[in-house]
Amino acid sequence: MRKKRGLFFKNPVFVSGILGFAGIILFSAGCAAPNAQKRIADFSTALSIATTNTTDAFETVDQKFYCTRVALLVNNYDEKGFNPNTEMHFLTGQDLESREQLFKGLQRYAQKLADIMSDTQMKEFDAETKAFGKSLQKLRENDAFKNINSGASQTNIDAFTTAVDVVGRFFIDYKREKGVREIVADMKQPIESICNTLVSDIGQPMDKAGAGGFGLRNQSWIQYEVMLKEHISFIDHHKDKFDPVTKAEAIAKLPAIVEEQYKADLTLKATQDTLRKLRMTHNELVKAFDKTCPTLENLIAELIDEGKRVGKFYKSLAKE
Amino acid sequence: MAKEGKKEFTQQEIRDLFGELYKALDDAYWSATTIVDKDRIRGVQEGVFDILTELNRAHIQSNTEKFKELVSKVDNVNKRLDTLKADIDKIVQRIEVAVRMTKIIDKVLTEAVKYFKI
Repeated sequence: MRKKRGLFFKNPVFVSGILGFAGIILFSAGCAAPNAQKRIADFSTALSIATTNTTDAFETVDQKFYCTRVALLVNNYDEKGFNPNTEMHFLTGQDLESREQLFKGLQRYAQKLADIMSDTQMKEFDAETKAFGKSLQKLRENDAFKNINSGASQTNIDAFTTAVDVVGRFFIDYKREKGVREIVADMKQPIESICNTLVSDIGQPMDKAGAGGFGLRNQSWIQYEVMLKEHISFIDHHKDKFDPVTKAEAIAKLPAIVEEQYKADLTLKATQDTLRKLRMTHNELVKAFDKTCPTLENLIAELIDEGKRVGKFYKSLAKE
Repeated sequence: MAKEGKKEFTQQEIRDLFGELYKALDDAYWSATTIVDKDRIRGVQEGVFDILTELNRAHIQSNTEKFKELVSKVDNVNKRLDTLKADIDKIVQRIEVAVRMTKIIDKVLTEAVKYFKI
């Protein structure tokens, strides 16, 4: 009996068997996509930028709605005064809350995907297997253990620890790839619905005849027009009371409003394009574990670049 | 149900009607030559702006229910991601248990030597 227990670490068949199994697993693991981690982390960044931009779309239209209301208030004050119940915001309450919740949920989704694919758990596992190796080594040096299991060589313990590490890493890889693939596939439909509905929220401006307009773009377009007329009216009614510099500044603001109107619409349109691209990119995300997936990588790169560009536009609109 | 002979307008058709009115007033505003005329048109257009604002708002509000459903779907997926992470953590924990076990065996053997002949 004693002899049988002693075979555990010194049996070359056992150790070479474990090493052989670990080698096969190491080979299989080596075949898994080494870039999946980077691709999913990049997708997480792209998704985060896209949701921030969409939040900015709502905020920008709301901020300009406020400015339009103030311009109307200034011109109408003598006749109508100020009513504190006047709606100064375009959207409030549950409409904004449900969208904010959704954006937070999407950002959590992206972050959790990136966390699972990150090195953290692998590093923890490696640290634990190293600790396991050290504790086995200490056990080997234990006099009582030597009596039970004489001949457990350092080489065999090292080989065993390495095999445990390789097999463990394989299972972590396997489990997360299988899990992430399934979850990403199940998220395809919700992401499509989210992107389509957000594109619909942003809508489009009315045409020259006044038809076809809806959503944020329509609202943004008409509120700039109202703002422009209110500024013109203010200048018309007070032009004789302005000093030359103030008058010049007030007039110079008029073409700036028109320019901003176009810029805001283009930015909102670009946000819609980003959302459409986000939908396409997420559809491709199941391929993140493939050896090569140029379409996914290109889409992610484009999404990040365009997202950053759109983000800069929103920042510049906020300053104006 | 719409009564016979009466057309039920879609949200978009109502927006288009007011959109056309808004554009007509816009054209009239830019054609007007006196401040008095411009002010009069601007006053009417302000009312149409309020209606169009309400219609654009209504369009966005009509999507809100859909978003509420989607929020719960995203939350469910996030819970599954938490479970997946916890499952992977279990693999790490199994090794932690093995380390603890080895340390305990080491300690037990060291103590056992004092009492039994091993």
